[in-house]
Amino acid sequence: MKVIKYLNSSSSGSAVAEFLIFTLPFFTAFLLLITSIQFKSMAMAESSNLARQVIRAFITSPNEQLAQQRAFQVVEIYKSKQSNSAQLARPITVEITCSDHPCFRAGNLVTATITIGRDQKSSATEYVDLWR
Amino acid sequence: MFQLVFMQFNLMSDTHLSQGEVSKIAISGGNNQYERYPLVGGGSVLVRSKVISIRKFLDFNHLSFKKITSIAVDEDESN
Repeated sequence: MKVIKYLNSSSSGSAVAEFLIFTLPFFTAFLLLITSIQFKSMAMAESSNLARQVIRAFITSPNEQLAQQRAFQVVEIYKSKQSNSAQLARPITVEITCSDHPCFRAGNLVTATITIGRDQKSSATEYVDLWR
Repeated sequence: MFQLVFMQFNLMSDTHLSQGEVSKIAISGGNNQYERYPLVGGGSVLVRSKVISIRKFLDFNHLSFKKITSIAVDEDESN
């Protein structure tokens, strides 16, 4: 009975404080969510574009000896434009796989996989020119 | 909160538009702000790296800067 009386009794309270207490956790979570979505989408755009350019450089090579060099050269040029902190925080690795060997053969399917940081991975696939 | 979403959206649109422009230059040619690096065996790599101030919904005279890097392979330099 005492508890009910206490609850029914008027209390002044503070609307601002209550609003902050109830909304701050929601806004914080929302802030983290939209920031992580933005980071992820930027990383996806970056890695998928880089994979496309790497595979483009690879398949347009005049011969097999230069194909790998051209692919890695694209990544090195891109890295040279990044800051030192970005290079350390998000290292870029390239992996090139072929459906058949020798890799640089007309009509062969080649895939370039770019890994940025720990978990961002994108691939691009193209055929080596049939009229080569 | 809305300011943050607005800034992030603008940054993403600027990044995609810059990449689109560099890719277009690599395909059909053009004179815009980019650097050309020769590739071994022919062709070149076009790179545009610029620092931009992010547009804001509300601005309190405090600019935010972000670096945007766009890259495209131009296998035929003659165009």
